[in-house]
Amino acid sequence: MLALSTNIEADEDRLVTRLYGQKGRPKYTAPSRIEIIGKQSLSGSLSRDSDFQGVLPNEIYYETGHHDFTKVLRYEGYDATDMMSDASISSNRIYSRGKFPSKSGQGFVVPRRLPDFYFQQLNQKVTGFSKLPNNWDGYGASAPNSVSISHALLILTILERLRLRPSCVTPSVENGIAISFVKLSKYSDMECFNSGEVLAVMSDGNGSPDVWELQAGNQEIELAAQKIREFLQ
Amino acid sequence: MYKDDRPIDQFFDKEELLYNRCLSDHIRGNSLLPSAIKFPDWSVNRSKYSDPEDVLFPKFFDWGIAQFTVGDVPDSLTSPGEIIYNFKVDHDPVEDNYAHSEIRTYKEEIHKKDLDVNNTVKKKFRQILAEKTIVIRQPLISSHDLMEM
Repeated sequence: MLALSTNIEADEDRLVTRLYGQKGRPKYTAPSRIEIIGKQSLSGSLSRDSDFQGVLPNEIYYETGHHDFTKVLRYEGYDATDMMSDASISSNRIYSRGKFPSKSGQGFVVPRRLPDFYFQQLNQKVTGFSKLPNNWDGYGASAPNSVSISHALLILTILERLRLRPSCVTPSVENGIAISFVKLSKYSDMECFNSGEVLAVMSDGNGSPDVWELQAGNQEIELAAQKIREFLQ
Repeated sequence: MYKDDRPIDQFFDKEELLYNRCLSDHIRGNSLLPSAIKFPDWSVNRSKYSDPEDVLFPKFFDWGIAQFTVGDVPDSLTSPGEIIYNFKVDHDPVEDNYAHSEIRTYKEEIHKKDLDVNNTVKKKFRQILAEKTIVIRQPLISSHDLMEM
């Protein structure tokens, strides 16, 4: 076995995988083609890693938001099931190490199935808001109710599908839940009120925020999410 | 802090600071999120008659403190239906807190509790004001710490 390590770092909308080899190991001729299995898209480059004799893809991008990370990548001509990998996750990083068979000209990378913990955590947080006591802010705020919670969960489901990560979810002192996006001086949120209303805002900090009301349906939320994504870019 | 026999002081300098308490999940950078701002009336303490920490009494000592100036409060906003809403800081002392004030919303110059305000005006106001706030004391607790287990 030729030992390789793969570092996978997550940022807002993509994972960056870097492969590292170890000096003094046998020659390794990496495959010239990478095949994608599943729905992930891939961009990146095949370039030479100085630790290796041969060409190795040393930087691979694939988008996050897809739950099934098993069989993401397969190097030409090799059975993916032989891959050994290990992974751990912290709040904003996914770490993965893999061992590659040393067969010349063959190999593969198969990150272990990694559910999107970020959205899982947000979902749990939103559901947990129902445990807030009434008057939790000392000024009469109600805990988020089943209406605002279900709307917030729907929004998170759509955001996960669109691979648009919010910065945080918070209970609102106006009785509901806010799903917020922060990028430098730009701010946006979708706020779900206990009354059933959902409002969105985008602001670049110039004192003239763009505000609109939306229906809590898939299509309008998706449009709002796309608008927010474009705004944040 | 007690009101005693002191009268209402309705004069506010534009530079006078107003204080409110906050939780850690309502902070991004050094400002409050709009989800921390109440509407149409928002309780604050005024700096002329209090210290920032007074907003933590009587049982919020792990909370943070945010401040902004009277001049940061928008004068008015107009709804899509052309209704003008004005915003004012009113001194509203209560028996155990002379500094207590409220940022109040006036619709056609009239203020009343539970005023019905256009949703977009409400959302805009909270956004504009949130951007003006500065956190001067970091909270030690989040909303999670308040949850009933």
